[in-house]
Amino acid sequence: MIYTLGMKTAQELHKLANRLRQDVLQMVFTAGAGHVAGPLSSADLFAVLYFDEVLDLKKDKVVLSCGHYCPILYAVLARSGKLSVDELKNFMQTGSRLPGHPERGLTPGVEVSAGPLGQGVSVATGMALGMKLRNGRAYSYNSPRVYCVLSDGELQEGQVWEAFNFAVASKLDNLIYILDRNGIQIEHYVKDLVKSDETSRLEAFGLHVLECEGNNISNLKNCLENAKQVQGLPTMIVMNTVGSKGVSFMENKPIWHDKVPNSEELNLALKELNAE
Amino acid sequence: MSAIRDGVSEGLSQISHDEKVVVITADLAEATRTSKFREEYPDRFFDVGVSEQNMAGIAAGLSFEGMIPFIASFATFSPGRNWEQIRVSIALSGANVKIIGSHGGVATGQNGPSHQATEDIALMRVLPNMVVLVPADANQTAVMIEAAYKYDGPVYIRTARPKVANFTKPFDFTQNKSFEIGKSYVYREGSDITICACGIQVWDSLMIAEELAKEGIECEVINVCSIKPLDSETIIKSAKKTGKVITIEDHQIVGGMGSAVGEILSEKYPLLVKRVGIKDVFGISGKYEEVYKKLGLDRESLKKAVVDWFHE
Repeated sequence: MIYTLGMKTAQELHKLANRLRQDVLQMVFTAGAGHVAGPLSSADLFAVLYFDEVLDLKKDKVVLSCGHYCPILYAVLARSGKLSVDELKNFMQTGSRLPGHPERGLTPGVEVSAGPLGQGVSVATGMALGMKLRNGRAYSYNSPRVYCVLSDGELQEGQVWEAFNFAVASKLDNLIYILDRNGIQIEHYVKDLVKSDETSRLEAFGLHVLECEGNNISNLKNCLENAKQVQGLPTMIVMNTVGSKGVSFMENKPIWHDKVPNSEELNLALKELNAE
Repeated sequence: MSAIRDGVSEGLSQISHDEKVVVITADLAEATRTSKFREEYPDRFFDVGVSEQNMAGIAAGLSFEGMIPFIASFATFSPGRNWEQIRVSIALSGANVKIIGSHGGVATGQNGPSHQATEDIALMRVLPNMVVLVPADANQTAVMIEAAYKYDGPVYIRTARPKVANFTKPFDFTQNKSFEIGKSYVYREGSDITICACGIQVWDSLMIAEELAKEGIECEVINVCSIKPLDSETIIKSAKKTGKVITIEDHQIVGGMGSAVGEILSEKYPLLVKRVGIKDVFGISGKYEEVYKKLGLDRESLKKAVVDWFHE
């Protein structure tokens, strides 16, 4: 089923997000590989980005920098009609349009080749700068924007801090970074490896930092709307989420960063996601 | 006399009328000779500060929004520090970004090996979709910048620091034909030995050829200025003629222009190829002429290498 774009209630978007979660798990199961925790924790965000009206997808660009989240991106592209839903089973199949990490030019709707963490953040920043060069430097509520999704593990790459500094120095207020802070990475909880607070570091770099509950649709929508009002600075939305949100036995466990569910686990998960 | 890097100012001037051209540096505008562009077009010039990895990504993003970005830093840092960003954000993505790597080779001199790019040709030619160009003088740098601008896709141009002869014709580079990506050019014909050279070593090879002619050895000197794509036709034709090939570059003999020439000949027209260059060591800090002497790239040493190989 393809969902039409346009203003939806928080309830509808929540249901849509769960449908995307089902797509992700189905995709990863079929491929026998892929990432789970991030695509699930960010499903609400992607539902809002692509199906609410807070973005204008005719002129705004969505960049997925944490490329391993691509199952959720492919799912939302399929459900919004850019790909066929039937194609999702081709995820990671040889020669398909849905590679294990997204590649620009291979898949409609994919703006940036990503996978090596940190790279997409710089590219998104360059795109925002390019938009300013074309449309004028002054702030405008109706300017085309770049929305760049990154992960908290990704903040460990030095490159992102280089990009933040440049974005702040260049006053890219048409750039909204969105951090999926689910607190987990491949083999750890982030807090086991990182001993300083992300929010204060991001603020210290000069970004306009907003915090929100990333698995609460209304909260997310409000936060994005607030970000659009910020002038003179790029915004960083720190989105607090739960890893593998939506499936009780997967939630907040690092092992589900990239574990493939077996058929029993898949069925349990799909059932849970239907019920909500 | 001009430095190969001096051609960057001129080259950018030729194309700066196009509003899509933007220039980015990582705090090295003066040294890379992009500062003139900064003065003329401050709105299209960006200094990201000391962040070469970010520089590559910013350029990719700008190219996706329709700009034609030239990024400039020392070749040790870009490529080098940002090789992976160039690999994925630029080469894999097909981003229309032109990378100027300045201070190529041990000719960089006193800053020492950390600043002397001796592996950059290898790093760039091994990437799919990357064009690799090495100008022989300032005029050729300008010509190559124009060619890179017209070309749709990633290009690497390697410049150098010291002042050397500026001998190629500006924009009229050989027999009134302008430079073509993928072509090498025979600057001197000879039937005894083929010298393939790039960068500073092209002029040196021509000077050596002059002297050797008086001693009865006729050298064919080829400017292998396009290392990727490589002009196998011109190189093989010369190899067939002379039967002896020697390559000379200010770069590791492992993986550089010499290796590229050797690879093509071993597949299409096998014969012995001697690679002259930096022999799998790091450079040293010192005045460039003295560093060259110590590492065997001075004209005396090169001449001896050519004669020895001829007699081999």
